[in-house]
Amino acid sequence: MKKNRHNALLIGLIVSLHLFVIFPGFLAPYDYASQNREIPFAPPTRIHFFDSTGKFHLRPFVYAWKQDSGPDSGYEQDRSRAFAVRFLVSGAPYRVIGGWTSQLHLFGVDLPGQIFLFGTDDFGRDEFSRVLYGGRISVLAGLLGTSIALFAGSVAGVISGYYGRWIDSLVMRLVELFLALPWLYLLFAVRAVLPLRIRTTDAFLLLVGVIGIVGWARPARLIRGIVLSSRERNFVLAARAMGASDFHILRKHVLPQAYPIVLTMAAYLVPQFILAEVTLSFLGLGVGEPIPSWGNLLAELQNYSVLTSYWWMYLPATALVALFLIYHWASSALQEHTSVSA
Amino acid sequence: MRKAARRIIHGLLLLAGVSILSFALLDAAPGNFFDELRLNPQVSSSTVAALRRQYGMNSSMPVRYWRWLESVARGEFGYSLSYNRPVGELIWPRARNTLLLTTLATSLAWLIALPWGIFEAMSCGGWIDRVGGVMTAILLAIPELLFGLLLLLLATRTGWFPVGGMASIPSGQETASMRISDLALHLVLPVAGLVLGTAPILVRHVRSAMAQVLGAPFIDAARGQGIAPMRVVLRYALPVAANSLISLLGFSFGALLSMSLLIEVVLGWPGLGPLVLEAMLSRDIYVVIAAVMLSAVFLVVGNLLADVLLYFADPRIRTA
Amino acid sequence: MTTEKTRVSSSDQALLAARGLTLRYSRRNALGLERPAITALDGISFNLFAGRTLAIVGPSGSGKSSLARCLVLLEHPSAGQILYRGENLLAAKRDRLKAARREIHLIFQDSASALNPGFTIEEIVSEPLLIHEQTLRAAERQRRVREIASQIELPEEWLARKPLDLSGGQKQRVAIARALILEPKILILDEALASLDVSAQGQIANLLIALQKLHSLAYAYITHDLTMAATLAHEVAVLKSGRIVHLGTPAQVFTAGQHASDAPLPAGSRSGETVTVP
Repeated sequence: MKKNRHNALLIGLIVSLHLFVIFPGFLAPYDYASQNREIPFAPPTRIHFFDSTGKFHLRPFVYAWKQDSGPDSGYEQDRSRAFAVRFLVSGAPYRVIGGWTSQLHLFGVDLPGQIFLFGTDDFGRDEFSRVLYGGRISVLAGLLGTSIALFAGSVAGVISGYYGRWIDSLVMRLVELFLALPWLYLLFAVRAVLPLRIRTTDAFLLLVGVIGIVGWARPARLIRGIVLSSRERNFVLAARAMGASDFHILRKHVLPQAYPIVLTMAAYLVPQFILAEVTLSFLGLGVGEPIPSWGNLLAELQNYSVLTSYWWMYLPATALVALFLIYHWASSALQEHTSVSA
Repeated sequence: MRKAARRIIHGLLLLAGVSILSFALLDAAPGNFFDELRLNPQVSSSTVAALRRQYGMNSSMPVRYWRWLESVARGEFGYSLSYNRPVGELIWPRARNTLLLTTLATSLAWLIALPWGIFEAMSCGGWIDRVGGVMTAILLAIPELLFGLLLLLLATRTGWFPVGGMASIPSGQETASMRISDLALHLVLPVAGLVLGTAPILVRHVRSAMAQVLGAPFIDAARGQGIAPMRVVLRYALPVAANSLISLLGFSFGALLSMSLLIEVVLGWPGLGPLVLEAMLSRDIYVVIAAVMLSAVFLVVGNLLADVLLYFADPRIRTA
Repeated sequence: MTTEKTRVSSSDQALLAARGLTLRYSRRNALGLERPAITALDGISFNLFAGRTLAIVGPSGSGKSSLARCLVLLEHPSAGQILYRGENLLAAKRDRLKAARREIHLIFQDSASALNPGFTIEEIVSEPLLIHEQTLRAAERQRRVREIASQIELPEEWLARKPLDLSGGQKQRVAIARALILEPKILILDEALASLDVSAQGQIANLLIALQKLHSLAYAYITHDLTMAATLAHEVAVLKSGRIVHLGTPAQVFTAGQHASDAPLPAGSRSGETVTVP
């Protein structure tokens, strides 16, 4: 069916997008921390196909930025030397996963040329690479936070809904408590339990934990509802009369009802949690220098000159918006899919 | 009546629980204000010691909680360690500013979202619905953070609106109308940011509530009888959809104190947001707890309000 | 459609016996205080014998469904005993209980809700095997399913379908297949024919009678349909307000006529509106 092909394509797109985000080293021409102090706030490198004589080159090339000789201390292109853009080049080494390192990058230019697709920041660091690496942090935070929240929420919801009575009351009171607090404040409060200045490597995991803890309540309530309604269905009673164990009933009859809801919730929660990480990092409560996150990249915009003069510093926000649109699209497709099969 | 009493008691218990939870969380936080304070040469060590003793910082948590409750009863809500004042004095003016902002923004958002959502539902697949749907999707995908930054950019580039603060006119020289127009100018940006952030969500909900009702058989019956479409929507459909809309209203009310934190911080509006953030960063825990409690109060009251309104609006609840 | 009706011989050992079954529900009002309890069953006693059907009839609210649930141990009675081959199930240990559950099966009135809509027919019928005979391999399970399916005249094409695709009578057939795959001795039929149309009722009733003869099954047939009860049962118990007020052969019970629990009805008609399972 055409719809199914459509959905499969969408899912493929999303998965590959996530892979790129989680393994940014290949796409990013540079490391997120390597500085070029002599060209702070350089605009994005222009890609050329036609050289100054009007001749067309199939392989695109770039010029380096040099300080403008004029009075406005901007940048102009140094046309004295062109650097061809090459693909599948060997560049600075990066860690792919675990101990496996690689030097292969999707694209790059020969030294001493540099290619800054998104310009540079105030330390001359390549913003494109920083957006990619920042995306890894933010998106992973969203994914992991969602996993934690959904897992904790599901366990709580299942136990609460299936075993009922005092456990149910207890869990539901806790849920109410957590839901009574505005989530940003709760995020702050939980974040406050952790040391203010933590080692950046731990910061990420703690951040994820915080987001997950804040987010367990709503899934728990939803799943409890599903479990409660399936628990009383006649086919569950039939299984119980046949002597099925709780485990069997949960696994075969109750949980399958919950899966589509969990999936829909995930599509809804991931962007929210990504935003949570971005917000925290923006405010200085998340990951900090030198590790980039879309949040702390956007924090630069609180500086007047950055806000008004350097438009490329807005690009992390563009990436965020694009991601949200994709998730929204996926979420609608998912809802259609689950409501049709229900 | 009994039901109302139960709800109120439930709400109070919830607030108590919230206070204990936040107190425990923040109290468990490693690193406290006094470590930072000791580094401050302006504060003598005897003052620090006196403060510690006064607020029972040396005693156990339950004792400190009790002391805090007493302070709440006195209207002080604890003591701000950075500002050297009772928290109450700090919080009320800030909360007032925040409420000014959020009430305006929420009312505006509802004024826009209600008709728009109804029209979308009426259109149901028509061009209003589709265009509206796309607009909503785009607006929802843009985080409030970005709205704030873009509005800031707008202000600084055009100079049409002041950036930050609530008033620009030195006091003593202005007339009432000057002050009001000055305030209004200051309000434009933050209100715009909040409306852009919340209206799309409201539109979504209104649309879905109305669409659900409009699909019911009794609506077809009314239409079949030849009743004018607008009348069908307003006199027949809307009252039924009011059920979920009132819950939404309760939610909006509940969020009045907490929804604007980010916008306030980015645009420099002197509300509760920047105060809480600063308190978080400096570990001024009583300020944070007071803000959290106040927000929770609003949430609980919002729910109660929704319940009360529902009681009067939905006859099924009255007769149940 | 005749059944052999022999006199109940008291020397046969009862396969399943209820002794003084009592079920009370306590209720709490809005403030959480206790209100007077509802007595759903009050001192019920009867016997079920192999190859015989006991019909339990009564108006709505007489406690029929509560009784059905108690017999398959979905509810725990407040007092009394349920004796399976002489052993009290209410006091039995877990493994004895599980063994007993193989032998006693419940067929619900509403077959649609008793079958998981997401399962295929094959999965539904083989579920008891998963519960009680976990060591069976998939191939063996499939064989057993097909074996019982042919006995019940369940066409093989249905096995891959979902309950949604089947009619009421067909679904009830599936429920019976599921109930019989473990070769139980006792079937509790809780209004099992009530939701079916007349022709399906006839088919299923014939099927049940044939199976009873073949396997010497004991049936407890709970119903408000007096005609069906008269046709299928060897013995009838009349339930009213949680008590058995009359017990005997169909002839004895139905021609007794002016019994308080039966409103004056012409012979051969149903006793009232559909009962909803509480």
